[in-house]
Amino acid sequence: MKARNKLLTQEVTIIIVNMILGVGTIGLPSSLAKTAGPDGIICYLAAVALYFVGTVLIIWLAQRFPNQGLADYSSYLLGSVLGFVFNLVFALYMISVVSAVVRRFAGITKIFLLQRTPLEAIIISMLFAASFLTRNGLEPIARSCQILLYIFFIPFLVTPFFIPVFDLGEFLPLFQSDFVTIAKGAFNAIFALAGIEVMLVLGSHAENPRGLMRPALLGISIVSALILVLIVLAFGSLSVSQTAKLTDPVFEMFKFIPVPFSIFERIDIFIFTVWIASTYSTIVIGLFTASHHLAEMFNLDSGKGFVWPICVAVYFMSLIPGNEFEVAEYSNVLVFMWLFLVYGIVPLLLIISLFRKPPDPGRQKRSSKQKRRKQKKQTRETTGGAVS
Amino acid sequence: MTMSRNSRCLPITLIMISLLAAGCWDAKDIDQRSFVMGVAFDLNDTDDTLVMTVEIPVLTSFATQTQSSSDARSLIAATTGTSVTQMATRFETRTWREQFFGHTQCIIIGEDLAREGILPIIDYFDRNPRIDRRLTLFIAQGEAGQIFHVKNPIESLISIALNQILNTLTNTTRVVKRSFQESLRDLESNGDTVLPRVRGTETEVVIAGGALIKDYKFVAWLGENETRAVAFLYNSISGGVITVNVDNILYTYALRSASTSIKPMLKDGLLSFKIKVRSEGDIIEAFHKGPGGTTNFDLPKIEAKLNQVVEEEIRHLLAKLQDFKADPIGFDRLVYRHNPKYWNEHAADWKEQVWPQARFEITAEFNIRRTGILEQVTVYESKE
Repeated sequence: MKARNKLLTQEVTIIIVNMILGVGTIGLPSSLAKTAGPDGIICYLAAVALYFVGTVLIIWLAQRFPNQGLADYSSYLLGSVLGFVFNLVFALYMISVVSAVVRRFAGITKIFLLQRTPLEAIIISMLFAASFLTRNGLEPIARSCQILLYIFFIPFLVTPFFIPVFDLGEFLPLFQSDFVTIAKGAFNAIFALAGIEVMLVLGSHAENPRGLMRPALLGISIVSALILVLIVLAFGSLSVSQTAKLTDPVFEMFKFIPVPFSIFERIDIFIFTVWIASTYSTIVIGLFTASHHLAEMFNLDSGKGFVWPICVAVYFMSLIPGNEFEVAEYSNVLVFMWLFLVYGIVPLLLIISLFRKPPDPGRQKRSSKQKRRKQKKQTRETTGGAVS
Repeated sequence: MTMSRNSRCLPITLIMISLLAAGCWDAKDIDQRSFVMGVAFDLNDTDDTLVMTVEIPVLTSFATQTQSSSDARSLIAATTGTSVTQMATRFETRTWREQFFGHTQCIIIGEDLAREGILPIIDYFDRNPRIDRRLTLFIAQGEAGQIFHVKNPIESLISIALNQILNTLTNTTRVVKRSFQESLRDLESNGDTVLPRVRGTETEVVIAGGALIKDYKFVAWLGENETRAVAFLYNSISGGVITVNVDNILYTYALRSASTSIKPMLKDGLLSFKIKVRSEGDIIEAFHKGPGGTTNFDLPKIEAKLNQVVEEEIRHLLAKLQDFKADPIGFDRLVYRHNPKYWNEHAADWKEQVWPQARFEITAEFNIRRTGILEQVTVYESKE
């Protein structure tokens, strides 16, 4: 049975939550505390507000071209040459995002779990596992993400009740930072939140593209609330100064939780499992988006063939940064690119689309279907009706 | 055609996954590790190096049911060096088993070394991702390494015993129970904290009182009553007893709950702190030596005495802390949180000038809920 190529309404929400939760989430409280102290919460809320605006813009654009991917309508709006260049840059951006995620995942895994395992081995094994699911198409990805989401929710719901030390005073004093500091903090938070841009490509696969806004905003709301819970817990339990000092404060926070009845000595290993699963889903969605976008660029039915080449590119790109500081710089460049894409390119495409009426939805899809039918007919004629 | 290709690919894929995703580089069996349960640090008497002593359980002795008295349950090893990492790696010349600090229960720092500073010691553990942050940091009265040499016939491992004692000691309230995480939280705020004091005799270890740390250096011991006052101010009391003398009868009050609120007040540029201690508990004993009779409990009087005792203990402790210009409770954090403008103006001279001048308004409110299953105080009445 062929896998369905459409996202159900609830799957849109699930894909967004899975794409956003991942490596960036773990280090976010630290970067917020480092930049703005207790005002890190304000920075995060500012980033979320900014993110909601970005989401609305992306979904508006996707809704204007239902049943068409970014590669289709960007070429239509920008012209074939400029459109091709833009699409190529977008594909490169997605590959870079996956590379950054894979590299940060490998770096954190090496510190906490596999200290003697070479970075290359961690990266290869993750890419190998991710490519396996990616090649299976959108439906298995959506189903897997749905299962993984349940695994994420349990620690999020349970943890607040087991935090042994929580000081509300850690959130004071608020509003002590200037605008520049808040902006810097919000900028840092964007990396952890980035991911909604996949809807530029996957939006066309929604079962109901016209009603995309609701599930997308719901997804953003859920993920923003979950990350906010983590930030609040890290600040309140570890203190703002400790959170700022630690590279991955969320893990340290979980290590500090006493396990009732001493069932386990330490529960951090379970949290690592959840975190690896969340990173895995981010990589899978990122790989699928990149491969599918390339397939659309070259008018192919499936991006399956691009998955392995992209994995090879991701592998080499993820090894470019020499150390963790360079990884952070790499991530900063991606945040700039994200801001340029969401607040520069997307509004530009939206404005152009106001002047250039969107083409008949599904025209291209229909034409490609007609082409296939014609090919089938020709084959049937040449083989005398026997089709394998 | 497609099926056969898939059936060929699947085993290859599974083999590749099992080979690549297994992460075998880090495979380490349990018997290939030395589980360091406790670490102690001292100054070296002969030169300016440090001495690191570790307590490692002999796992085979725990596995066997039959145990002879000569079988050692733990290995105590010591080495010298100039940094913690250097000393930890030097153990590798003696054992092929990797030193594993993931289950370490306590870090003990000797008094003399603590006077020079504890920051260089704790940095190694703070940085180590495998450390369990629930462990406890102790300051030893005397040599820290000697604590592990205590021969307690009941306890197999001193590190575990220390941890267990500390967990049950909350019932005496004469020790501050702070995890490594909580101690770091205090230290990173202003460099000051109170750590539990440990000392060892030939056959037992004793945890009582506290060590006052100022700017990461040990500066003074705190007595058991002073430590109780610290516990009240840390808001970390979950039980314990307080005995007060009312009309020559010693009443023992068992704390069932206690909470402390501290509020900074700024009036006409003068800083003061309003400290309010609330507690509920029971009278569990009325101890009387001299002649007496049967009397009713004078609960308001006992409560007033309890209030007085605790207020005085806290006042005495705060005066001592002000003398040492140390702020382990974190009054500075409260000022920063509630009066950030005032804090920004006085942050630089907080410990030297502002903190020693601070005033306190201390009130205690103890409530006796029960008096056991007796309603009256019955004491021996002399016939003479």
